[in-house]
Formats: sequence, C-alpha cells, structure tokens
Amino acid sequence: MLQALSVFLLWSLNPSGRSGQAEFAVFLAVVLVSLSLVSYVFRVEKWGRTPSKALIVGGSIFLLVLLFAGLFV
Amino acid sequence: MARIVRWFDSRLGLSHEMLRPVPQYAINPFYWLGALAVIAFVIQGITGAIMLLYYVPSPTQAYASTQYIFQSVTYGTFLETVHLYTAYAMIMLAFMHMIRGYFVSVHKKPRELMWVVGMLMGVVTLGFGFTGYLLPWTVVSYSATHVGIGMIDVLPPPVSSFLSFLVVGAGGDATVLLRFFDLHVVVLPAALLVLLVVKMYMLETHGISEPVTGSEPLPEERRKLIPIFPDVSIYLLELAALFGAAMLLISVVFPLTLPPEYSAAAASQYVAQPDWYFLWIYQVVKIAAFEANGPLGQYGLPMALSVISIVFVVLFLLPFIDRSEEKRISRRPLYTTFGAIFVAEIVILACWGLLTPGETIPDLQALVVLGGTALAVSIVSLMCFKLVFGGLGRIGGGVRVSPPTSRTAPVVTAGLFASVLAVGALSIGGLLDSVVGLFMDGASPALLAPFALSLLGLALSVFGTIYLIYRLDFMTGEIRRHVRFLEVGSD
Repeated sequence: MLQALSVFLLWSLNPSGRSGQAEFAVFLAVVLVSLSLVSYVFRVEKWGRTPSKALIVGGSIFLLVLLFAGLFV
Repeated sequence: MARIVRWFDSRLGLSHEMLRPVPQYAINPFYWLGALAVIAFVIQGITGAIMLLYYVPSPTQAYASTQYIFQSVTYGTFLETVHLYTAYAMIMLAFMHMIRGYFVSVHKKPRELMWVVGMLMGVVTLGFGFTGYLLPWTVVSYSATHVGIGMIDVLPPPVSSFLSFLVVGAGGDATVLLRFFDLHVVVLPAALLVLLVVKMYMLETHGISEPVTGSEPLPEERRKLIPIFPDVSIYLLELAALFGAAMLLISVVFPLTLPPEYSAAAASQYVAQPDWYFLWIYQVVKIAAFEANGPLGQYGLPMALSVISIVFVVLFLLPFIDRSEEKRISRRPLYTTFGAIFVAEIVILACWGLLTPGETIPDLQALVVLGGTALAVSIVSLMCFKLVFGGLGRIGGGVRVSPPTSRTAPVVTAGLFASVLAVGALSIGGLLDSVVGLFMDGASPALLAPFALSLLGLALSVFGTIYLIYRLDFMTGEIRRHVRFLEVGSD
C-alpha cells in the first residue's frame, strides 16, 4: 500500500527544482525500505521462521515518518 | 505466464545452480560489504551513464556542462548527489571490507590471491575517486588534483614516467582532463569488472571463509547451505534496497552544491585539500620533516611517499607476511594490535587533516599525535587481550588472569562500572573542551595533549563498556565469572 501511495506521489513532483528532487529521493527511499521489509518477511517465512514484530512495526513507523517528511522537504 | 517462464528457463538455464550455495553463517551483513560496494559501483554506473549524455570533457565546457546538469537537467542535482555519495560509500565499504577481512584472517591459505586481487580492486576504487574529482573542473577539484599530479614527479623514474605518460601527457589542462575522463569512464570500470570476475571465480572455487569458533566446531545448522537463487538473492535485495534508501536519505540531508569554477584568481583564495579518503596521505606529506624546506630537503617528499608506499606494499603482501595458519583473534595479538593501530592512525590523520587545511605540521606535534595514538591503541589492545581473552597468546606465553570468585565478582563489576562512568564522563568533557579549543584557536601542543589524553580516556571507557557487556549476563541477571568473548576468536 505504501509503495502504491509513494509511486502515486512521485508523479506529482517537479523534477527540475531542488525541492522536488529531494521529495523524489525521499519517496524513492520509501519504496526501497518497503521493498526491503516485504522481502524480509517473504524470506523469513520461506525459511520457516517468524518475522520479527519489532522490525516490522519499527520499519512501518519509519516508513510513515519518511512519507510525512517527504511532504515537507 | 508459466509457459513464458519455462521457455526462458529452458534457454537461459536460470533454475540451474550456477553459483555455489551460501552457508547459513554468511547471512550476515558483514559478509556482504564487498557485494554492497559492487552495488554502489552499479549505481554509479547508471547515474554516471546518464550524466555522460550532458558532460563535456574540455576545460572550457566541463564546469558549464556540470552546472547545466545541476540546474537544467531533469533530476540533475539528484543524479550528481547520488553519484558522489555512492562513490564515497563504495570507498568506505571497500575499506571496511578490507579491515574486516584482515581481522578475521580471510587472507590466509588458500585465499592469498583473493586478498591481492581485492587490494587491486581497492586501488582501482581509489583511482575512481582521484580521476572523478577533477571532472567538474571546480576550483577545489582542480587545485587538489594538481597537488596529486605534482607528486608524480618525485616518484622513482620508471614509475614517474609511466604515470606521467598515462595521466598527464603533453597537452596541458585539456589533455589531463581528457585522460582523467577516459580513465574514469572506460579504463577503470573495465579494470574493475575484470578484477571482479577474477575474484568471483576464486570465491566460487574456495567458497566463503568460515567464521573462527575456537576449539568448538561450527554447529551443523549454521553450515546449512542456502541456494543463491532465490533465497540469497532476496537477502541481497533487502540489503541493496536498504543501502539505496540510506544513500538517498543522506543525499537529501546533505545536498551537494557546486563550488566555483576553476580560475587562477579563484584558486588563490582556496587551500588545496583532497577529498576525505586521501586526507591521511595529505596529512603525512604535510609533516614539517617532509617539506622542501625541512631537514630532508628535496628528499622529504619522496621519503613521505615512500612511507605511504610501504603501507600499500605491506597491505598487498600481507598474506605472504602473516603466514601462520592461526585465525583466532585471541591467538594473534601482534597482528590484531597492528591492525587496530593502522585503523586508528588513518582515522586520526584524516580528521586531523580536515582540521588543519594547508597547515604544515610541526615534527613534535606529529610525533605526539601519531606516537600517542599508537601507544594508546597498543595499551587498550594489550588490556583487551589480558582481560577479555585471559592471556596474550604467543606474546605472553598464555598468561591467564584468574577469574574473580563468585563473592568478589559483584564488587569487581561495580567498581569497574563506577570507573568506566567516571573515566567516560571526564573524557567526553575533556574531548569536547579540546575539540572546541582546536576549532577556535587552531592546533597547538597545549591543546593537542589534552585532546590525546581525552581520546585515550574515551578508548579506555569504551573498552570498559565492552568488557562489562560481556561480563554481565543481562538475560539471566547473573554476573559471569568467566568472560567469553565474541564467537570470532574465542578459545
């Protein structure tokens, strides 16, 4: 969901201004962090283990912080 | 869809095991520092290729074209910033990869040549930094690069003439810029790719080095092999995505600004200073003894470069110098201490160089700071071996400290804790005080002595904290009588 939202936001940016480029970088970071979290859960479950709740909750909070930060850079 | 996948698989053989599976113990970011450096290289390749569409390698247009990328190209600032920070990350990761390899003895039989190839890759990586720095043709990059080029003349004649032919040529600034550009975008990437293939081939032959676990064999579960595709690839994807995100966020927090264009007038207002990864070399060259008007005269600079070359030669030949089969840190006190001194000296020299741009370093200061750092690190290292490993291996003939009894253990631990707190607080206060003084008044022996003492105190308190962490078993609330160290190197 966060990936979809961040990709949607990417289309609304001004790619030549410094601020727009900073927003792009933050939203791209959101995409990458969420991709990393999804891969982590997939891999750990594939190996028959339980993903760390702390990591998932912490990662999700970090993603939300990044998304909001992206709106203000 | 399945038919399409099967069609490609039957032609490309993707489902065949092309690469050696990876043992479970290697699912740890520290095993993938080299892979992350390669990912940084790939990101640089992509961002660099886009910038190539606009950059013009000529002294009259290099700066203007770089400025055009910054100001007019879509996502141009983003491209430049990410290109620069991934270059920094690549150099840092390569350095960390080497240092980790040194401490866990990956250079030992049968991986000696892997170490040599890795060192060559490290030199090529530094070459990327050196050649790429000149390309924007800013006053900072031009001045710093020409300090480096000037050093070529004092090298021994065969090396000097070869490097002059390769780098400088005979056509002035235009030739230098064009050669740096060619080296940066063609020669060095090609060399790195060839070396990467050679290193990967050797990695496939020897596999990933096993962690050293002392007398106890590695548990079977940790030896379990994991296929490269898809399992390890997914793990790498996680690391790569996090690395990419970190680079992007750093580029947002510290956006790049383009310094002024090079001109003789502008250059006179700037102090030539190389980028951070060459600062340690620059700081050695700035020591008064090596200056042209120093006691060594015209031989000063060649002498300084010889000292730096010896460091590189020793690093290259390390597998043939450190030939014992012992890999445990606890049994390698000499090499462990040398490694710690090397890292500390590089860091101190680089930070010192940052604080004293363009200043000649008095011999006494250099002696106090470099000698003091070596002494402080040696003392901390010897204390670590004495207290944590319980002996000094071959140096001390296996001297062991008798562990405290269960009655005295809490008293010893509480005493240590109080000492660590006191030393740590005093050191941090002293360090802040001396750093502020150094920034405000510049470097002087009166300020450097408390700075060195505070650093020593801080090192001792860090060591004390590490010791306490291992001494206190937080899971059970008990105090350990015997302190077992990290898995790597324990007996």
